Amino acid sequence: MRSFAVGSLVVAVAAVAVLVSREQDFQHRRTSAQLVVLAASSLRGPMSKIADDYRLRTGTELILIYGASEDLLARARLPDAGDPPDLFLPADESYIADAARHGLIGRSEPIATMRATMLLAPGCRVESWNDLLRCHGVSLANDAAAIGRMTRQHLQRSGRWTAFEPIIRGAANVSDSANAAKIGAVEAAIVWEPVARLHPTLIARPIDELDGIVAIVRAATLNGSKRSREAEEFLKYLADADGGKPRFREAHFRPVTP
Amino acid sequence: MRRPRDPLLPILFGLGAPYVLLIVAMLAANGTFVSPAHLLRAFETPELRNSLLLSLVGSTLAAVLSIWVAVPLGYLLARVRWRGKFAIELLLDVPIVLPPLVIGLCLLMLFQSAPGRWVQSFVTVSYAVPAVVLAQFAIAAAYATRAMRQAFEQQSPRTESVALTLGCNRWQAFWHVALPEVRRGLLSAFTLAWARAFGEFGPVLVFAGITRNRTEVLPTSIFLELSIGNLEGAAALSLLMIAIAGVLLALARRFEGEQS
Repeated sequence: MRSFAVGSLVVAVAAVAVLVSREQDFQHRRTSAQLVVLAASSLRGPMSKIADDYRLRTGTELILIYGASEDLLARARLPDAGDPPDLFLPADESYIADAARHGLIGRSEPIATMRATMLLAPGCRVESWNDLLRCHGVSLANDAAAIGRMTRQHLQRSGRWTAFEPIIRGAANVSDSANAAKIGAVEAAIVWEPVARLHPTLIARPIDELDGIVAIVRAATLNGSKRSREAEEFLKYLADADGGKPRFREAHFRPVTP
Repeated sequence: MRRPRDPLLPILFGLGAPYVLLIVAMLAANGTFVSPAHLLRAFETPELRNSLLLSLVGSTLAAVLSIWVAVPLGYLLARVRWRGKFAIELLLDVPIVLPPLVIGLCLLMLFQSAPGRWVQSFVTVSYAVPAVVLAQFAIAAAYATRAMRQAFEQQSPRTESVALTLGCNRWQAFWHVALPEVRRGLLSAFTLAWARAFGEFGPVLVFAGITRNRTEVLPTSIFLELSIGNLEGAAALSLLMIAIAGVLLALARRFEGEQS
């Protein structure tokens, strides 16, 4: 038993040593200039490229923390003993409004917009709203996600919600909706256009009935930031036509024109 | 005269087979999404290599820590009568019963409370590597404790009593008699805790977040791949996890067999 006790102690010490050295390496690789950005995981495509561009251009490293917008908002609300986040970049500006209500937000800038579209499962033939209503299952994220809430509100306003509601198959978020369509678990999904474009093998079909469901991606500096000047500079870069916007355009977002 | 065939075994196989087939079918379905190129890509990206390293090292550390608490708790619950035992038993089931996300949330709130902040004035826990290990440990230790308790319950207390009558003190009887007898249970508890920690997602996501190259573990990498619609990448990482866990668990089983 002594060998087991000593062995487990050795393994634990070795594991701690590996983790500490990994953490030191992480800290060492950071330049003195670095910013912590809370970004919606659906923005990972453009944001990882923007982080590379920004490091090359300014030497400032972006520490990107991904997650669902609501989880990131919760994180922004909690004081952090380590690195307080500098910027908040949720998938929709409604989360910025929530953060502003909690007094978390400094300056904010609109970056891009996303429109809702219909994403069809392989082999599914849906041309119109009436075709969509004949489907057995259409995936839509729940109300906690911007696409779910905005679609419901839009269809309620246009009087189409009652007919649509019975065929909804709820999903946790917009990515799950698109994935459900991709594997054929549902016949179609209502998703944001950039999310649909992540699935080039599927057909994305905009329909008139979804016109007007538009999310605005807005970035904001956080009041808890210890590097507010650098955060504002990055915010300017994100909103600049020669900075972050081209990367958003490449990812099929529609950059906001000033 | 031929004896009639015993129907028991076919019935048992027939009842158990659907579950085994379900697992095989799930793995096969996962495999249809993955090509060797997807698997190779998983190793090419530094972020994923980092995530793999943290998954392996973090779950090993969490499993060792789990064993250190599971052995004394398992022994106390199996062998000793004491006041408050029932309440402790219930408490130890909480991490098993609660949704893992809630465990993550509770940990996050704990480290935002006054005592938690005091701890964080010395070492950053929330959204850092210690949060990963602590989240894995919080769940894995409950499973390890349950396994150790069963191991001690299955072992007869007579040998320990004999050791006491032969002049051993309580500690010596525990260390030299009781513990060696549950060696197999110890290995089972370790592998169970390791496997549980390796696959932990919810509490890690909430308590440690997903910072690339820092707190990202394989399950959170899969979540990130899914969030950008990369089903093939997510399936490749899932297969990688299954392969690693399969190899390590098979080694542990083999070692366990040799010990017994």
